Amino acid sequence: MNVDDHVKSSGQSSLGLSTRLNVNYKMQKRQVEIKGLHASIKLTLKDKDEKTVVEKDLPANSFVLNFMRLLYTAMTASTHNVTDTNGSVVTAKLAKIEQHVHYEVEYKETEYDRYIAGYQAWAPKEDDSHGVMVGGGTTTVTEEDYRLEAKIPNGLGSGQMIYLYSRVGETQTVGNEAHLFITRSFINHSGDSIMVREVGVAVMQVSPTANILIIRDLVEETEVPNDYTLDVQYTLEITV
Amino acid sequence: MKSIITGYVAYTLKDKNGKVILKGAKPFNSFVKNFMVMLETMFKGEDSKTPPDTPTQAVDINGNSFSLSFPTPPTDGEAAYGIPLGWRVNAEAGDTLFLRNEPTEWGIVVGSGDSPTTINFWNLESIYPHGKDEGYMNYLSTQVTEPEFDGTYVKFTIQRLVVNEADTSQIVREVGLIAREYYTWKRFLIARDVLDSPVTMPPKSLLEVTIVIAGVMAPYNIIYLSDLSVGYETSQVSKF
Repeated sequence: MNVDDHVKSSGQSSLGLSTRLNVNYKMQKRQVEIKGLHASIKLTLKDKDEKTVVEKDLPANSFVLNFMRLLYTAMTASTHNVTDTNGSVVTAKLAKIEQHVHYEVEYKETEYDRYIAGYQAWAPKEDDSHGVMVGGGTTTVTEEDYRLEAKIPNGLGSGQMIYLYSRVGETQTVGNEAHLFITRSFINHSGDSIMVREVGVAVMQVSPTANILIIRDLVEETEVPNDYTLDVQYTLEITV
Repeated sequence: MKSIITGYVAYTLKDKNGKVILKGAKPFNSFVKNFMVMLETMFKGEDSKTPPDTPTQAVDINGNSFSLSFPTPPTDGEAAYGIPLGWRVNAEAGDTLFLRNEPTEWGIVVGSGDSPTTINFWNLESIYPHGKDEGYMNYLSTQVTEPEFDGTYVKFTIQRLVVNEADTSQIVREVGLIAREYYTWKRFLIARDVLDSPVTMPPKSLLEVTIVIAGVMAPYNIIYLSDLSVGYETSQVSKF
């Protein structure tokens, strides 16, 4: 007998007013559609003339534990330990800092003040430390993953691809859904084909400086021939 | 198959003598657009030297659009290393907030509205403000646990006690989560759900509300959601 049955049998019409209610009822079991925040991946392979030759829509299966840790820090304005992409344990916090930048090039000194904040998933061109990244690893994702298994580094050399700008889009609503795109393109000028088997997203924390993996996915093996471009689009989605 | 960030809300109603008279739970899965805007802002952050794209605006609990922000720490030391910022849901007791002249309605809040949630909701339909008369609820302090992994999913819980101090019964039909921005104290709704059955709170009764934010970290067909403390189990089936 469950709570509802008890209420019916007690003759009370208003929950909470019955003093005869027995709370030692059996477990309720139900099936419901699961909702919440989830993600998907779109891979688009383009030839050297920018013509799309392959398009794949794939599920994104794997927010890793670090994602929840960062969410916790943001929703409590507090800190929590995470493992960064170097395997070091760092204190995560959503922060804003002022940097005094000073450097010297060819006897000329440059200095300026800079404010930076957030867990940044956007990244400049050729910066492969965070943002969307690709790799060749095939090991099953685990919740404690803190880096891609075999990241394909930025560059023109063998086994390298050029990382373009990693962009965080704008929140868009369609019907009762909201979407957020995180995208990046990768160009293969290495002189040979490169196989992409894993993708992921890492964010840059500003203080202490660290790169933190938040999503890692194994994807259908995709060959990127020389001079081809691979566009990777993560879509975060919530459905009411 | 996809992983997902979702959750459930569990509630326990106790009479004025502390006797449990009702327990229940339901999926808490109605994140609204503001939640995605919060993630977008977090992932864009700020950079005064190379500004990222401007984040989408959120809508506050009064229906006004505004930009989430990262306040600059007031002292040099804090500006150099940063202090934890964010959009807090771990509200202090309503009385404490009132005494400090801070907004009182944020964190876990309850209301009497029962309209289905849509993606653009920006407040509860009919919130009970903090207070002790009819039409009000006394919101006590909030407890938030740190993220933990239980073998299937990672979760953190947000728990708050809500007391009906009025001399009449009051009905709770909706539960929401309102975040408060660090420093600016701007508040915005990030999630809201209508309970399966209205909960009638007798005079002086206490409602213990627990919202569990849970992330399923691996591909799944079915996850089995349980909270033995409230006698609730749900197998949630992906319909993607």
